[in-house]
Amino acid sequence: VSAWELWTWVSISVLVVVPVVVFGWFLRDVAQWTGRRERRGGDGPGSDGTG
Amino acid sequence: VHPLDLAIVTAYMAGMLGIGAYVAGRITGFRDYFIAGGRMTTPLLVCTLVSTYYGLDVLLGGSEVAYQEGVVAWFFYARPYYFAILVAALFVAPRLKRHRDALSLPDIAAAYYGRGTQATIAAASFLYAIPLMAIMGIGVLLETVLDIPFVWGVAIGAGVSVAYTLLGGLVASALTDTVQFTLMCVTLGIAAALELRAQGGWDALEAALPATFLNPAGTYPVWILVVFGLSALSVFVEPAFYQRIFAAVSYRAVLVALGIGVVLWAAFDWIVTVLGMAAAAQGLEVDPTYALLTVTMDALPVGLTGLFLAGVIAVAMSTIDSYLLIAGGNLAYDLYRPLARPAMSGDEALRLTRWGIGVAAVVSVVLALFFSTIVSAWIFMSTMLISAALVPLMAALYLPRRPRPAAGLASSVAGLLSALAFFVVVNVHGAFDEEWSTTIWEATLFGREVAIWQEYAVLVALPVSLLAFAAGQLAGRAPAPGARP
Repeated sequence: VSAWELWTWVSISVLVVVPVVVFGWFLRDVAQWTGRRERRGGDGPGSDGTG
Repeated sequence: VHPLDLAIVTAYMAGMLGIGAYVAGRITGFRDYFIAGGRMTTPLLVCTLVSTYYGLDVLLGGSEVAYQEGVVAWFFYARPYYFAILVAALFVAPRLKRHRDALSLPDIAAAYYGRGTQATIAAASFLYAIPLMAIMGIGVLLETVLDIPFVWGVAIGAGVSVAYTLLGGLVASALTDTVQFTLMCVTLGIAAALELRAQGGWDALEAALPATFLNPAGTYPVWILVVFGLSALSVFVEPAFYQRIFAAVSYRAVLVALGIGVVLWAAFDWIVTVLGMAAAAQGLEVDPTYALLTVTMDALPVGLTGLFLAGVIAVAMSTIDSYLLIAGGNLAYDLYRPLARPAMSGDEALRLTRWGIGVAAVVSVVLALFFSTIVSAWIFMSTMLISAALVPLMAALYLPRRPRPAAGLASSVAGLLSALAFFVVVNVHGAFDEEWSTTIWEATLFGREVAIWQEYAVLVALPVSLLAFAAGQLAGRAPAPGARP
């Protein structure tokens, strides 16, 4: 396998896997915001400036 | 296009509008609208930085270079940016984060040099930010692929992103970016895997290409490679980058997001390069700008084509929304407010920025007609920004003593005007070159024949900006004691 080919398959894997992980991380953040807001009964995510 | 693909694209567009409408009801002021209240976390920053910075101009521009020249697209067109981004993340971002009141790039100029420099840099930022190619690109894309008349394509594609940006500002832009980012990366990765298999693997691809395609420097003149590299300096004065740093919840969030971003950009750029080369290997006779689209649409099955199309539209829309927001803010907040209404209220800034977004969208469509290729438009826009903003802003952030206001004004005005003058002169005296798809002036200087490309503007404007800064430092008055920042 040439370096070109290896880098191509690494790139494809990065493009397919990393965004899905980051999106999951984002959804977890949203779930935490929502949980905090419900416990506090406040106005919305980050309304106290903390996010 | 299969009805299923069409349904996917339509559902995607409707979803983006839904997000804008959802966010609109939660905007409480200009700071909320323009920098998301300063509370963006790492994953949101990754999505918005990666997808915003990746426009159709980079996607199609990168594949255009790869289709014509090969891997030089990655090595010299794309790679200098990763270096610049890492340097900016490590050294520029922490200094910017100290300016807690700043909302935009021209705000930093105002803090050090005053309103004249702020206005000049805002004008350059506006020229840089108007998403002309993305708006035109979406029209051409919808016309080519879905047979939607061009005017309607522009109206639908740009209209949707303008609509949700008007509604929800940076929060809507960033939330739509999360979907757009995932869609564009994953579909491009899958498309590349399928295309590579269709071509018979890497070896078959390589065998079908001229040997120069795998030469990292390609066959471009050396000065053009220098210009490609220099255009990466735009990262240090990139308005979307500044806006997101101010919007981030902490410096650490910026650092981690940019680290992840660089890995993704490098992978994305390489795949774009491979797909451009795959089009060349197939011997496709297409407009180089659309080589990537043609080769990918052929490779994908029903369903995935719709997702890929939505992904490409996402590439354009994530850029249109973010940069229209910046361009609208440049007009209302960075130009009109300091020059005409220093006491502008937050509500008024919010209302006028929304009008500014509409004006910027119209200007984008008009200017797009002037440029023949996406690469030349991209270089023009980054040249304007670098020439006006790089020297004064880096001096402001890094000189041990506070620079003189006259130096900032002289540097930004001289840089911007000399870059504009260079483009005008080359376009008046030069001619369009079919081989390189740009305007070149065959001039005689000191008895020698030289080919002056319009892209060389930055090589003149940057030194002019530096000299003007030095002159301003020598001749200008010292800043008033006790003045901000």
